[in-house]
This record gives sequence, C-alpha cells and structure tokens, in this order.
Amino acid sequence: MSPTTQPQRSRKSQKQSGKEREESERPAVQLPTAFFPFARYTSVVGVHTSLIAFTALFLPRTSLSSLFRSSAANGQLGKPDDVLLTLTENPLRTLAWICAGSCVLQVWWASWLRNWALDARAGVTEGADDTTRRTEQKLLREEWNSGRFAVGFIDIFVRCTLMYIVLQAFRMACLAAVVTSVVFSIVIILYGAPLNSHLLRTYLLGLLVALLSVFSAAYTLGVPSLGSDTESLVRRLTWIRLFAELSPRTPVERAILYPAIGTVLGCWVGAIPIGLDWERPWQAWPLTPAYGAVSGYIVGSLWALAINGVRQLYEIQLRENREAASAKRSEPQHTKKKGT
Amino acid sequence: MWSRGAQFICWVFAVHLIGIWLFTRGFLLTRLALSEVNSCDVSDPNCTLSPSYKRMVFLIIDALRFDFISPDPPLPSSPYYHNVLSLPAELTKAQPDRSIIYYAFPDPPTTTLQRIKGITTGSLPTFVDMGSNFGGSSILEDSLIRQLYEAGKQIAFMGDDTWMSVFPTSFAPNMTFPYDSFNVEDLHSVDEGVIRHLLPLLREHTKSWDFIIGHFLGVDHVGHRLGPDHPTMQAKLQQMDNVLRETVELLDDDTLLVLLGDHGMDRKGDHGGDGELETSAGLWLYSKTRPLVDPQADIPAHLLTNRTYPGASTAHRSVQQIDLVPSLSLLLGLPIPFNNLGTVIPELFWTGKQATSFEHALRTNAAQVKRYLDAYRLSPAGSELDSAWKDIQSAWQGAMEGQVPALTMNMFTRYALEACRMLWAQFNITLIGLGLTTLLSSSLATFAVYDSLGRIVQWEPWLDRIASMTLRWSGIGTVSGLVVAFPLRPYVKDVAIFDYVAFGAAIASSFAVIKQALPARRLEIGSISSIPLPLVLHTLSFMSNSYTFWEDHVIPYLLLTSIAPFVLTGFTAPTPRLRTRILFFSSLFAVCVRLIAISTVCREEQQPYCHVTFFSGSTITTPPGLILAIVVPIAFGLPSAIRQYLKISKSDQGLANILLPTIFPSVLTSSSFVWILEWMESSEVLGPSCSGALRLTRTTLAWLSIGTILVVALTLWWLIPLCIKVETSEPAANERREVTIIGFANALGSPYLIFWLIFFSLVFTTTQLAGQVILALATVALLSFLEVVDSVRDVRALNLAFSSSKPSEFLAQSQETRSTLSTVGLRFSEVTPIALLALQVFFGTGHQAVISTIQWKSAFILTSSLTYPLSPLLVILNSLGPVFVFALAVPLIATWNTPPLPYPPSTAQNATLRACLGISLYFTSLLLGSAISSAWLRRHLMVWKVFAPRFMLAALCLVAVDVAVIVGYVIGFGRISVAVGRVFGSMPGANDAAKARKSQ
Repeated sequence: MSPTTQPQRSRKSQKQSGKEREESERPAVQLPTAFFPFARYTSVVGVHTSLIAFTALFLPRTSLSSLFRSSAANGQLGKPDDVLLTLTENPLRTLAWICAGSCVLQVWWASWLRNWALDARAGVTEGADDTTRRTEQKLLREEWNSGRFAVGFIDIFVRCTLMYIVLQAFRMACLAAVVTSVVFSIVIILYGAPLNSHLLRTYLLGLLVALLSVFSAAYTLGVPSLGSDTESLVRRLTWIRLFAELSPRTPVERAILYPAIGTVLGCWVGAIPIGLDWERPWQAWPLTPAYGAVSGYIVGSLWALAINGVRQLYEIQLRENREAASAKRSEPQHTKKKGT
Repeated sequence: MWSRGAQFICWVFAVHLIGIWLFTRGFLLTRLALSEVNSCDVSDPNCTLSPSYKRMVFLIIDALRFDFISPDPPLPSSPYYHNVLSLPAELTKAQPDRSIIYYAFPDPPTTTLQRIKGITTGSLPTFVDMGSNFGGSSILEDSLIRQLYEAGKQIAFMGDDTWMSVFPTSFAPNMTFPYDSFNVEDLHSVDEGVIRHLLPLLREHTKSWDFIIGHFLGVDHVGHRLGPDHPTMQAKLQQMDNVLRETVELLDDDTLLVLLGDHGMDRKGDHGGDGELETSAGLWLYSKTRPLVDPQADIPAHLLTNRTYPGASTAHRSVQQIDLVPSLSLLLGLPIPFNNLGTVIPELFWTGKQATSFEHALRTNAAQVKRYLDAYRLSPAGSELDSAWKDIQSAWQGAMEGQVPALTMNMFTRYALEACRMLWAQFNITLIGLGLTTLLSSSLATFAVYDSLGRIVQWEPWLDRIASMTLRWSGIGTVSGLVVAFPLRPYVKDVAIFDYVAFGAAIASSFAVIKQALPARRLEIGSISSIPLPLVLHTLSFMSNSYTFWEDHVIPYLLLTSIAPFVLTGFTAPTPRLRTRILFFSSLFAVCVRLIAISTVCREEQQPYCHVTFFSGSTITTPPGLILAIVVPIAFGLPSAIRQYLKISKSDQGLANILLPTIFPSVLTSSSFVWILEWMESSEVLGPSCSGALRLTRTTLAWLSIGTILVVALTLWWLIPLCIKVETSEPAANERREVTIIGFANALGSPYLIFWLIFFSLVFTTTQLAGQVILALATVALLSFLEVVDSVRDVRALNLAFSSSKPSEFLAQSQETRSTLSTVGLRFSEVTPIALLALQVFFGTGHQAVISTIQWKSAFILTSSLTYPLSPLLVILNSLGPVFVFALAVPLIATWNTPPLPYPPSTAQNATLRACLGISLYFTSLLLGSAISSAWLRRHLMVWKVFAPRFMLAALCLVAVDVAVIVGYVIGFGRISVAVGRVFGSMPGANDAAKARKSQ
C-alpha cells in the first residue's frame, strides 16, 4: 500500500507548503501542520485514556448503595484486596459500569475526532480561533453574511440543521454500535463463550468492544452502507481499507484504528488467563477480556499518539528541509518576482 | 516419479518413530500387573502367622517427610517443620518397646496413586501397569486391602479420594468418606473431613471396624502451594500432632497404629520423581499397651539397615516402604499379597534370642516372592527378567540351602527387589534426552525442506538429492552409532546398542538434510508475521496443566483465531462474489466448529465447570435424545451436502455421481442404525427378549457397511477415480471436433475427496451416535474451509495481477514463477486449521487425553466377543480415526479446485507434499511440547494424570498423522495423478488447457 499512498501524501504536503508559503508573510506562529491540531489531540488523548482507565478501575466500585455509605469505609476500600473484591464480586455490575462510563467517554472522544476529521476535510488550519470553527458553521456564517434572513431566525434554523446533522450521525453511530455489539457477542460465543448461560455478560462484553472499537469510527467516518452511490462506495472502501487492510492514512484514521485493534487484541488476549486453574475471583467471565479490551484500547490510543507524533515530527522535518532547499533555489526567483 | 516425495515422507515417519521410541523408553516405565491372588488357607502354617493384632489404624499424612517426625532432625533445624509433629519422637523416647520410628524409602514415581498401590500391594507400580483391563485406574493386583476384604474385615476409609479410584468397592459403604484430592488450593477440607469421621469411629465401644484408613492431604497441599518453609506448614503439622494425640488417647490394646508418609517432598514441596528428599518418608508404628518390639531381641546387625538423612548427625534405622505390606499382613494374620516384593521387618517378629518366629515369617515371605517371580517369568512379559533370572535362581538356591536361613532368605528377597527395581522404576534421562534431540532435529529438518520446497522452482531434482542423502547419511549414522556404542556402553546406563544405532541414523540424516536445505532459506523480517501463532500457543499450552486439561476448549479458540486472517482478506476481496463466498463459508466453518465444541465427555479435572453432552448424562453412556432424533437424517443427508460442494466446481460427475447418491448415503445410514440398535439393545427399549435379534441385525449391518466401503467403493475408486464428464459435440463440417470436460477445474480435488470419504465412512461406522453428528459437522466445516482457501487464493492472485504493471502479461505467465508460488501457493496458515480441526473432532467425538475415555464399546460392533485383531483395530479406528481422517484430508488444500494441466501437475504435487509435511510438522511440534513438558515437569503433582497422558496422545496422533499423510500422498494422490495422466497426459501444452478451462 505504501508505494501508492506515498506520492499522494507528498503531493498533499507540497500543496500545503505552497499555501503556507503564501501565508508565511505573517511572522509570528510557525504552524506544525495545516490539518491536524496535534497539541490538542495530545491533551485530549491524555484525558481520554486516563478517564477510560478511571472508568475501568474506579467507576464499578461506586455501587448505588455505597454512594450512601459514609466515607468512613473509604479507608478500607483503599486496600488492594478490597478493590479487587468490589470489582469482582458482581461481574455483571462491573461490566455495566464500564459500558456506561465508556459510552459517555466515547461520545465525547468521538465528537473531537469528528470535528478534526471535518476540519481536515474542510482544510481549516489550527492557527485560526477554535471556538466554533466547524465546516457546517463556516458555511452557515457565509449564509448569514449574505443577510437574506433575520439574524435570530437564521441562527435558530442553522442550529437546528446542525443539530439534525449531528444527531443523525450520532443516531447512526449508536445504531452501528448496537448492531456490531450483537455481532461481537456472536463472535465471542463462537470463540467459546458459554452458549446457554452468562448471555447478558457476554452481550455486555460485546457492547464494550463495540463501543470502544466501532462507535467512534462510525461517528467520525459515517456508517458504511451497501448503496451504489459514490459517497457510500467511498465510505465502504474507507472502512475496508481501515479495518480489513489495516492501513490508515491520516492521523484521525490512526486515532480511530489503533485503539480499535488494541481493543480486539486485548479482548482476545484477555480470554487466555481464564483457563488457568487458579480459582481467583477475577477469572470470572468476562472480567479478563473486558479489562484486556480496555487496556488494549488505552495502549492502542497511546500507540496512535506516538505514531502520529513521530510522523508529525518527520513531516515537519521534511518540510523544513524542502523549504530550506527551495528557499535556496528560489532566492533569485523571489527577487525576480518582486521585481516584476 | 511418485516415489519421490514418498521417500522423504517415509524418512520423516521413521525418524519420528525413532524419537518416540527413545523418549518413551526413557520416560514411560511399564510393568505387567499380574492378577493372581494369594488365596492360601489361613490355617496353613506356611500361609501366614497367627494374628498379633485384631485391628489397625492406618494413617497416611501425604508427603510426610522423615525429618518431620524424626527425633534427630538435620541441622540447622527449621521452626516450621522440625519438632512440630513431635508425638512419635516423644513416645519412642518414653516407651521404646511400644513405639518405633523408621526412615522409609518409597519407590519412585513418588506420586500418590503409585504410592497407594505400592503400600497396599507391596510391588513397584510404574505409570503404565499393563493388564487385562486398561479401563479405570482400579487396581488389578492382589493387595492388603483385598486380603482384608476377602477375610471379611470391615474397612473404614476417609480422606484422599484417589483410594476410591483404586479400590472402588472394597470399603464398608457406611464408613467411606472420600474427599477431592486435586484441589491444591484447599488446604483444610480433606483434613477436617478425616478428623470429623476418624475420632467418632475410634470412640465407638463396639468396634464396627477392623481397619481404618485415614489419608490426610493438607501437608502435601501446603508443600505444593506454599512450600515447607511457611508458617502454615507449622500450623498444619501442629494440627496433625493434635489429631495423633487424640488418636493415641483412644487406642485400645488390640489395635496397632501405623502412621506414614506416602512419599516425601523436595525443598520446594513438590514430589513425583526420585530425588533424595522425595524418597524420604516417615513411618511410625505404635502399640498402646502391648510390647511391639522386644528390647532384648538380639538381631544380627546385617538385618538392620541404616540410612542417614541429608544433614542429620546420625544414621537412623531404615526400611523399604513396601516392607510394611508383608509385615502388616502377617501381624494381622493374613496371607501376604501375591505381588509383594517387600521383606518382613525383623524387629516386629523377633523375640528374645530365638529367631523362630522371624524365620517363620521370612520363610513365608520368601516363598511368596518366589511364587510371584515364577508367575511373572511365565507371563508374556517374562523376558524382561532374562538378564536377572540366573542370579535370582541361584539366590533362591542359596536361600533354601543356606546355613543361616534368616540371612540367606533375606538376601534373596532383597535381591529380587533390586532386580525388579532395575527393570521398572527409573527414569532414563539419557534416553529421554536422545528422544527429544531426535524429535527436535527431525522437525527442524522437516521444516527446512518444507520451506525450501516453497521457494525452489526446480524442486524435483532437489528433492531427489535430499532423499538419497537421507539414505546415505542414515547408513553413516548407523555405523557411527555402532562405533560410538561400544566404548560408551560401560558408562551409560540402560542404553541398548539398537538405541545408539537408531539415534545415530536419525540424527545424522536430519543434520545432513538441515545442512542441505538451509542455504535455500533466508530469514527475512517479513517472516515474523508468518509465525504460526496458533501453533506456538498450542505447543506452549502443554506447559500448564490447566490448558492441557482444558485443551478441548482451547482448540476452538485457536481454530477461530486461525481463520480470522481469511475473514479479513475476505473483506478486501475485489469482487462481490469472492467476498460473499469467503464470508459465508468462513461463518459456516465457525458455526460448525462451535457446534462441535459443544460435544464433550468431561475429564475429571474439568469438574465442576463441565457438563457431559456427548452422552445424555455423566454416569450413563446412552446418546442424548436430540442426537437420536437427528442422526439418521444427518447421515443420510451428508453425501448430498457434499455433492452441493462438488457442484460449485461442476465436479459432481463421474465417480461422484455413482457413489454420492447411492452408496455413501446407504453406508452412512446403516452405520447410524448400527449404533441405534446398540442403544436399543443396551437400554432394553424393546425388552430383554429382543437383544439377540438386535445383536444379529447390528452385526450384519456393520459388516455390510464396512464391506461395502472397502470392497465396492474402494474398488470403484481405484478403477475410475476421476469425477469428470467428457462431452463431445458433433463436428460441424470442416471444423475440428470440440471436447468439453465437465469438472475440469477440480479434476484433482474431487477424486481425492471421494478417496477421503471412503476412510471417513470407515471411521463414521466405528463412531458412536453423537460422534457421527460431530463428524458430519466437521465434514461441512472442512469443505467450507476448502472453499475459503480457494477463494482467498483467488483474491491474492487477483490483487497480484492488479498490482503488476501488465495484468495480461502476468496472467499469461507460467504458474510456476517464484512470485506466484509465494502468493497463491500453499501457506502454513492454511494447514493450521486442518490440524486443529482434527484435534477438535477428536475431542468432539467423546475422547479426552486420558485413558479412561477410550470407547471400548466400539470393539464389539463387528463381533459380539473380543476378536483379534479386529477388536483392537476398531478401538484404534474409533480413538485415532478422527485425527487420521482429518490429516488425510490435508492434500485437499493443495488439490482443491486445481486443474490437472499442465501435465504432470508439478505445482499441485509440490503443494500436496508441503501440505503433508506441514501437518506432520504441526503434530511434531505438539509432541515436542508435550514431551518436553512431561520430561521437565516429571516431579509435578499431575505428571501422570495430565502431562504424560497428553504426551502419549501426542505420540499416537503423530503416528496416525504420518500414516495418513503417507496413505494420502502415495495412494490417494499417486493414483489420481496416474488416472489424470491417462486422460490429460496426451494433451499438448497449456493452450489447450486454457481452452478446456474456458469450456468448463
């Protein structure tokens, strides 16, 4: 794949650098890339992974009854044995908490991803103010500037449309997550999960894997369909390229794909310790695959961050080199241009 | 030309056999268990002595090492286990005539089952006690318990449930309290159970019991789990000490207390092997009021052996643990068990200066040992005694004629014990090492050849060179083995000349092959991704007892993992048809695999997490009702399902058209009826009167179906193997005649499938009803997998064509170019699912890696009584048949949807050979994993229960796979290529092939 993608990417970056050269008259900020807000991405990943870890390790300990229990018991809860006990005494409750927590977190995370993906598609640069710079809004503002409608009305209309689009995407992503959660549950059963018992636990595991791996992708990229129009074809091909060929091209795709791979692999690896005859409470189905999935997700997310960072640096380096080279070359040309 | 690959495969098989032979001889010690019982008349003075004690309390503290009760523990003494269980030492000091401590030597293997057999029979149990009944682990030999039982004594039992598997029926039912023995995590429940039931029995006024066996497990479990140096050990021994104090309190005059450890433990608390600490067990005898030994006894020193515990300051009186058996028998006035090799303990019989009583005891003892040796000599295994027999005879002569009978008879019994010990009771590390080396080098050689065959385009002459090289170097190895053997023999124990020769031949030829094949191989970074993950995990899993006994659950997991890459490729397929095919057939495969995984007979370690589904219950062997309802339609419908698969490539012609609609449905259906009738007969659905008629009908049906397969189907296949139809259209004027061959595209695969079905039907006949359903599901899975592989290869070829600059040129290229081979040629990841499926079917058809799951019923489908060699053959077919049949299917991956042109089909032959080597490699790897783990863990608690049986299964599976591969490659593929050559051999060149393909 790489030989085919390479030229495109370099072409793209050439284009970018051309654009930047035009803007480089503005002195102050040296922009890292045109399309990806790397600094914010880093901080969001940091927060997101920590919150996911928190969800897995702490959230299940807050059962509704223990919320009312006084904090006097907290001192005891701190001991590692007790932590393990509260996490393992009711696997169903633990799983439900993790699912609930990661559902909220994934919506938040996916909205970031979606914004970046839309930004990238619209070509918005990071340097601009970041309050409401989304594609849709940009379009809307243009319309507003044309002044055909009353301000308040337009604003409401625009917001409604925007809401509708977002809600539609959100609804489809939720649908995708639900459908794939069923698919994942079936796959988990095929891999050997019990057929006639623990079905709810198996389903929750499937849901967790779906939330961690599919939801953000569906929200960001759109749900693939079997339609024959260009958009759904492109969307389908993107999904196949990502999840079957495992070859992401943009930072956002990496941020989607690597955690998904990590989740699935982690879930797979997590099944292994169940077989040991240690008779520990944490071997209860499906705690280890669930925690494997969560840790796989975190590792994948950080891995995506690392790869994106390295690529970012590499591209900066590349561009600087090229700029230096072209600056040297274009020195006379530049003056010539000025002259004309 | 077909002998070419065959020669190499046979060499691989031979080397495997040598490796298995060497390892097994070093590891699996065998002994024939004689079932004779000493039934002499108790009143006869030559039979036994008059009883000294009426009752006996026989307490076993598992893994009670000698120093735990020693009055003189080694220095520095440990606070955790020295002088904690101090009662024996205290009493011995206070009452030396009524209490005596021995340092006992338990014979290896020091595992509980073997030791229980040892201390009840007085013989030297090895892992495999061969006898008339392989079935349960119940004891076949005469034993102390049996003598007690036959004398009408009431035996109470409490503790380790291993006793229940050895003596299922001997204990008084209302005084039997077994507890689960393999839950090492549980330190207390067995001990508490024993205490709860032991003390009330002792308190009884009217003693309802004559013999109490109490087997404590806590000390052993603490050792395994925490090691001896742990405060828990101190608490445990303290608890034991308290129990003993209470027991001593409650003893009466007529009762002898025996306390012993069945074996010792090493420094980490494990046991099983022959280490010095493992073979150091404590033994304490105590009689409350009556003198047990005579302090005035003047026993000659040569009768009293001493042994120094490692680190102790002085030597202590020591005995063989099995000496207990004759001693206790005579003290209770019972005949000595027939198989006993122990010698009476002098102190217990010697009174004053006169040795009359002792001599009487010893004479009885020696005569019994001689009787046993004579019987063993006459048995089929008698030749084992060849080397020692002369000396045994002369020792016996000496014992009879000696001036000092006490001395000479003692010498005789001791000599007999030593001779038998040499025969039966030692691991031979040298042979184990030689076996492992052979297996390892042979698998490296096989891998090197497998790998090179995938790279070398001109592979035929290359393989010829390899084959002749194996012959030459085997010869060289034989000679050098002989040369090395003679100088080494005096120094290396128990390695025969043949072992040297076989090892030399195997290792020399393996290294020659490795050296020859290695230069063709380049290690690339890309090869990391081609590491067969399922194989690696599967092999490593044998290092853990959990994964070994949960293997039937591990395999579907690995199988699904191995199919995942195909599914991913399926999504990338460039055409919707290929995508649908791959996804549909992989799903079908996965569903079949999951359904097969439902069927299981649980092994005991899997309890309580496992439910028997192969039968309708865990204690009955009738098939489940659902199976009874569906098996006949499934057996009848399976051939037409297979036909549907053949229809995909239009190859349901020719032979397939003859056999699939008529012969196979009737054969499979009648096989099902054989087992349905068997169920009706055994569960007496129609009442007992019909059983004769049912028996006759099912015997006839079984003969009919097996006869039809072997005679009709096999003959037809041999005569007209091809599944093609040739249509000739009438030539129009001036035009050449056009020949259409229907079924051309699968001309190699379809006849092989028919060939495979013949063997499949044989196995189907010997398999019980639930297993037949499983076999049908597995066939569907296999065929689905073949379609998946075929489609995935198409995807790869298409992608390769798209990515090359000139697709048309690529398509015109010969099939044999290097890049094509590596893209669409056979890959190891295509062999892995077949190997896993084979084992999955083994487990699904009601087998486990334990001897007790052998389905003896299958021996009697053709005859109503045991017939040689038919019955063993049927049992083998039933047990190893699934593995054999699915290994036999492996050439299908190489031949499925492979057109026979250009002729000769060199690429297909190469792929077939590689597929055969691949599956052999897979099973060799499993064998290596299980052999290494059982050799490495030979001290493990479960080595004889988990690891060694898995090793035996792996060895048998490898043999079955090798045989299947040879049959498949030489007979199946060989015959088909000849037949194909007859039809297509005259066709000139590839252009015609292309034309034929078009008109398919």
